[in-house]
Amino acid sequence: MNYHLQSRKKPKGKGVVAFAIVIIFLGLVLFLRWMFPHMWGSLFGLLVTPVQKSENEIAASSPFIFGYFQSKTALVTENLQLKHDAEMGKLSSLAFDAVYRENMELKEMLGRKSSSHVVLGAVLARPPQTLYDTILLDVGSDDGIALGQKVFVGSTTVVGKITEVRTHQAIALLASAPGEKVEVLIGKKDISATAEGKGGGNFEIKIPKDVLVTKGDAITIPSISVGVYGVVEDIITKPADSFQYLLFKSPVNVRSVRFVGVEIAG
Amino acid sequence: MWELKLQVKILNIFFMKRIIVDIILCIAAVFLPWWGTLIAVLACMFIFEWFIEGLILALIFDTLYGTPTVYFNGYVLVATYSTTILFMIVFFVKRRIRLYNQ
Repeated sequence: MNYHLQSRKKPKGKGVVAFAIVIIFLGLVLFLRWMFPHMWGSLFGLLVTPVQKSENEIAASSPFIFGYFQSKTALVTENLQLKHDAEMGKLSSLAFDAVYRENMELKEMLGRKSSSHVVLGAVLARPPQTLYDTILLDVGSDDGIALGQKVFVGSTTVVGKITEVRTHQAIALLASAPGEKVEVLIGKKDISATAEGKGGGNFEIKIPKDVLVTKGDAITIPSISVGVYGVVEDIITKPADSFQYLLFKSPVNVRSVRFVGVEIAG
Repeated sequence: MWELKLQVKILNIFFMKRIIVDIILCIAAVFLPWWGTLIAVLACMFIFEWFIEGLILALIFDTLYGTPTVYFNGYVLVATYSTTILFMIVFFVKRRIRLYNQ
């Protein structure tokens, strides 16, 4: 015989127990974080580092595994295209290296020798694994990492800054994290502006309409060292708005980056 | 006597299953996107009773990757708070579903 659900007696007091457990749990979490703010991160970091490193290895070998199942014609076409791209990239890189070296020499001649150096760090976790648009690095205070240091991909592309440092690990917040603001210079005229992160490597700059900006203008860091955030990809203007909105994207895809450099002063 | 033995056996299988699920979830947290882990935790909350491991996993997640951001108004325990709210919602929803009251 079936009975209506309403007619059954529900166990009372279970809800109170649930609430009590949840409140005790939250209280405990807050208390432990307050007592040992850095200990937990370092402890969990040590425990999961081997798994995260193995994940990096699997990600690195996956193209070879899946490549086995691709058709030969597609692979040959892709190979030719990649060879062409590599040649073009090599040429651009040579020109860039020459200009970069000249830039450094000129700064040195004018008494502005750069005293900073870069520490290489492997990326252990990256978005979308992380909820906060952060990347977890395998270098920490033992390697000279400190708060606020810039994080680069390659030699010039800035992707974020260090926001938390542990003994053997560090967390870098991406510059493109939603709501994050960075000071930038736009184009050849070095127009000063503030870029706001929109998530997923995207940025937006709001500047007056009468400031002349064109697509392809470089967005750089306002510093003596060379650093690029990206290039202007789109300009949005509305007739009723006195501002224009510049949209740009980081040239590197942080989701596939395996190594980054952290600039250490001194 | 045999009934007690059977009960112990069932209990052992249940805990074994739960421990295996916990290990899988911990590995999933490293490999899957954050929303994938969240869906898995939500599913486990419906399958298992008092799935406190979900809250602990969220805490580990926050401790590992959390940092104050403008988007979350400077809060670092976003995953822990969200999972706690989810835990309570699931708890009350389960009490309302006939399937869990049989």
